[in-house]
Amino acid sequence: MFAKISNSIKVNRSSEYFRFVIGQKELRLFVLLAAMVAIMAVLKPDTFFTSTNLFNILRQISLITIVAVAQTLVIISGGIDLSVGFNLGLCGIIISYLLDAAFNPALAFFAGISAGLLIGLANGLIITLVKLPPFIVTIGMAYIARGLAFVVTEGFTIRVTNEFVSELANGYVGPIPIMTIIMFVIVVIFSYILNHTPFGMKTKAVGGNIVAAKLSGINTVTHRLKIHVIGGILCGIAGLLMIGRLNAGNPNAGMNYDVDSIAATVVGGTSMNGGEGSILGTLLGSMILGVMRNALVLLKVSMYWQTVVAGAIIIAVCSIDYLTNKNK
Amino acid sequence: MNGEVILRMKNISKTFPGVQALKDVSFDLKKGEVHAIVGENGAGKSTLMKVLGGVHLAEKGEIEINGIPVEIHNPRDALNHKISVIHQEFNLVPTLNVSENIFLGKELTKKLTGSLDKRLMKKRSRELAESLGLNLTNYDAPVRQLSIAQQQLVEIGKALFNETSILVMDEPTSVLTSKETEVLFRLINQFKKEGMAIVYISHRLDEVVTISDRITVLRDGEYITTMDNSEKKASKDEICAHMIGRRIEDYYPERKEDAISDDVILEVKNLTTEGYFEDISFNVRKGEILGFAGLVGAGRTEIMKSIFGESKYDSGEIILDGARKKIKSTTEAIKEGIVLVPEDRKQEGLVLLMSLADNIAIPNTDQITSLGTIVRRKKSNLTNEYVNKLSIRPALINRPIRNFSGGNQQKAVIAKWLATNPRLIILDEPTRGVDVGAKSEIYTIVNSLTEAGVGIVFVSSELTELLGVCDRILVVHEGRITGEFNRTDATEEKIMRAAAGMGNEM
Amino acid sequence: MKKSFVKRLLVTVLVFVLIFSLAACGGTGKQADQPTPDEGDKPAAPAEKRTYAIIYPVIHQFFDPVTTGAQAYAEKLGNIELFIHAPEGGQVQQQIEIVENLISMQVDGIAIGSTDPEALAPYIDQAIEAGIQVVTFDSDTPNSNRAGYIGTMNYEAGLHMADVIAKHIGEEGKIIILQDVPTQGNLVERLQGIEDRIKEKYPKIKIADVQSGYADPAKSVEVLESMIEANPDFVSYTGIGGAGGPAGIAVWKARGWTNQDKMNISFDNTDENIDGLRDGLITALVSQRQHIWGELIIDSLNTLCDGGTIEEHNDTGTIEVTIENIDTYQDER
Repeated sequence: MFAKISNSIKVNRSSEYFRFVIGQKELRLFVLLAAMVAIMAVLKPDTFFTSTNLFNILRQISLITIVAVAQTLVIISGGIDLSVGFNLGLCGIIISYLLDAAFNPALAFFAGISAGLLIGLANGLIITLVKLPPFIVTIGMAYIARGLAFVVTEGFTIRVTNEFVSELANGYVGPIPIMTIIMFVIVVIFSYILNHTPFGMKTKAVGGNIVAAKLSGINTVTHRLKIHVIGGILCGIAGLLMIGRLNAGNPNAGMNYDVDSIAATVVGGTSMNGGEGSILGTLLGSMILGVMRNALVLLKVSMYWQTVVAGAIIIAVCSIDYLTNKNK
Repeated sequence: MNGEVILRMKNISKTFPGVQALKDVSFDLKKGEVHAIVGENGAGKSTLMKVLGGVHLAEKGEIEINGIPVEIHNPRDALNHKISVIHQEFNLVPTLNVSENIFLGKELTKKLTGSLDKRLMKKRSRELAESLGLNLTNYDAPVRQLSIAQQQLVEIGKALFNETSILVMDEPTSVLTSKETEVLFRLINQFKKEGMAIVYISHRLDEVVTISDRITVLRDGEYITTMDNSEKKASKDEICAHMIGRRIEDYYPERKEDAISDDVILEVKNLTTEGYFEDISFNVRKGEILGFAGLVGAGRTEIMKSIFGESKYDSGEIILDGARKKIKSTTEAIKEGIVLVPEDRKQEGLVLLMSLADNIAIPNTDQITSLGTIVRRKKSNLTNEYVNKLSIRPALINRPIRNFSGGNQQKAVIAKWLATNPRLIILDEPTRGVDVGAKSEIYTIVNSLTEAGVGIVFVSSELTELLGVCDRILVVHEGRITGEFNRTDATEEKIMRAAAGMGNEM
Repeated sequence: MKKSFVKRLLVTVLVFVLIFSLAACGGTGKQADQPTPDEGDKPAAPAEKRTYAIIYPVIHQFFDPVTTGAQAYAEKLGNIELFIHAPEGGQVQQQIEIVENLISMQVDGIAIGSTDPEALAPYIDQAIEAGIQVVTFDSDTPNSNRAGYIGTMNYEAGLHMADVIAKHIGEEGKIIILQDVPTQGNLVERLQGIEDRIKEKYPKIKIADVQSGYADPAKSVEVLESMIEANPDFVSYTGIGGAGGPAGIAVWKARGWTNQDKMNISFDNTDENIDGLRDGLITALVSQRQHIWGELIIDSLNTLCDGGTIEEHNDTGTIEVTIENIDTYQDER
């Protein structure tokens, strides 16, 4: 009995030490991810721990991670964007529609990504100028984007045969999917911007305390506009990759990406209250969720239970994060 | 019966991140007395009462009621011991009416049906309200429609309804007019006769001396002394000296007259924003400290925010170094060398999630960036420079700012602005919630800035501070300037009269 | 002190729950790996143990007869392990992920009902390249290299539906139609079949309106309500997809109608539709025979794994269900 108690005290001390040494949320997430991978490698060495499957997971999370980067930026700046999913859906539809109409592909890509930009800009303008809560504005925008996708397609899937698009989404460089490379580049760029540039610092300041940010001379209106525009562009890029992955512009594509991107963001340790968070964390969050989805299939968990387990894991990871941070 | 000790708090200690709010504080209270607790902001008065009221849990210490040790873990425990605390922020549900608020949690029900007996509740609360002098025409109105004084009476009504034997009032008069204060004092004296024990917390030493029987002084979370005031003749100077821990003359740095130059940095002419302030004209010279006195809500903060470009003004002119400027945003103000240390540093001055260094860096990113990237070394050099200049402690620049004490947080806000090389610094209540030592340091910093030729606007509600620090004091009452005093001829009395809108005897 | 200890305990517990839930999932998987005990003679039990996956386009009770049919048959045969998967809301990307994960899992055979044939075709081909036998059911993916399709030929089902409608309304009158998801291939074919047959044989029947409810029950009811407002003189309503029949039942109930007032002639024998038929809210159903798909899927995959070939189109046909044959139609083979 006493031995047990003293033991638990020791564990607490060492965890204190551990926390001091690794400190960062990212490292905790990395440990969790590594633990999941290790367990799966032991349980399913021949199906899970193969390079095909691991790269498979990386490709599966690429799209959602790009969208989650946009979501993370918006959430850190104190907002939320529920229109990401249908925004990317609409961008994809516009590109596939123009490709189908035999437009110059470069022009089609430009138009699709611009559409993402415009939706982001519209979100930003309404949020900052009309001062409606981001939740409401982006829900409305999600309906608009989805509706427009159906207007353009009349509900039908548009087949995409463009080689370049297909290569982007399905091609490989060595064993690494191109889409995954694009994702990593985006993660690195925005991680850098968030941590090492005035723009990133201002983003955290705006999200952490918008009044103090404004009183510190930050033009909070244009800053939030920029964040939404960047988010929109990322959705546009994701839309381009999505049609490559589906080989089609499907008006239902992107469904659930709003919630999924928020899940990756919060599992990645970004606070829903804004002001703090990390892009690297979001990548790890996305990876954890990706490995989990893959593992649940490989472990032959019933399809009905998979969603339940996914939800439970999101809550558990966030609870751990919350409880270990509350002491501060 | 009266005069026997009802409450004894022994060796209470409480820490918050970065601050020891209470160190071994002891306090006792007798039946039928009014016991005042005084001290500067951050001295621990409110914290001590929050421990008594079950809002905060002390790490150390004991509480005895009627000689029996008790444990108070939450507000409900406090209520069970017949302790009622009326906080500065009222505990009323703004959307409910008077009787619903008074009976909240103890609703009367009809025996037969178990449904609420609204009639009876309304009748009882009306009787109670009238006994307190709260005569309302409409008892069904939600309490948010009542005046502050009326809401306070509802709070008191709630306390009486709980058969309170210990009533704590935290700054009850700060929001009342002098007439309303008289009414409150009559009530307090009546409760006293009925044997209630009252803890009275206030900044206003005049009132403290008028109403209390004993006065306990706290400073920086420590118990200093308890003075007898049964004759209502305690010396305010003595109380003040206990509060700040030294003689007043040593507390404020010496002003050098020659610091003030004749060059006017800022001139404001007829500045007006309807509903907030009207016809505000004044100027600030290089090296001058210009004080702004007035009651809370007089419009001083709004004037400052307009000059800083945060809010718009309807008419008037702002002239900087002789040139007329229309400042439309805070960004422009900062470019023009005007900065504002806001009233509420946690809500408006700092991003609490960020580190000390980042908070200082926010308005100064130009200085620490090369090729679009923030250079860590430049950032830490810049931060360290000001951490040393203003002796911000601890000098851990990557520590989250929320873990610094109030005084050091305030110094961080000042530091972030100093790094922008301002010409004019507006300080809005810069010493609120700051301990005595840090206050003195802030005065010294402000003083030394003037020697470098910076103009200072110093807004404060503490008269002693204004008198100690400023070269000139303007008094604002209901959005208008109602008095101007030079350092040499300003007195608390004169300023108070001007602040209350009673004209001045210049 | 106490509080923070409790908190740490909670964190520790959570971490362990997280890690062990994964491990536990693995455990149950392991158990399922063990072969089911032999029960003597079986008709066509495969020689070695096989794993087959059945992927539905969406989680829906329409497929319950497939699940029960396949599971019962697999158990009867023995030596077969079955997985049932579906994207819970019918999302294409999720279905693609499931296919990819099953390729990693190296199952022996996949039967899939595509949410979007265009999108799924390359992934089906990937599975085939990985050595997995693939058949499609419910909705076909003709652009892929799948070995064959089991299920309703939806165009023919549409023709049948038009005949059933014509029979009940006397070959004359206005009808309204509710589509589910307008992109879903099988539904598009059904609609086409109805339209063609009416054009060809029943000139007095007029399709007054076709709208989509996007498979969302609430939305379907809304859309149907407005369609009825716009066409008050319709005589019969048809739901093309799974949400159509129930939407009709809800609206009929709300308006106090029975099949004497207006007719509801919809697709599929879901529990709701069958109850509607019993309650006199539905006139007739054109039902697919998905209760036999499970068996056919397993037989086809077995044949393919043994190196055999199967028919490219295995039309299981449709059957009209009315109050007369409601209890017996499933016995007809």
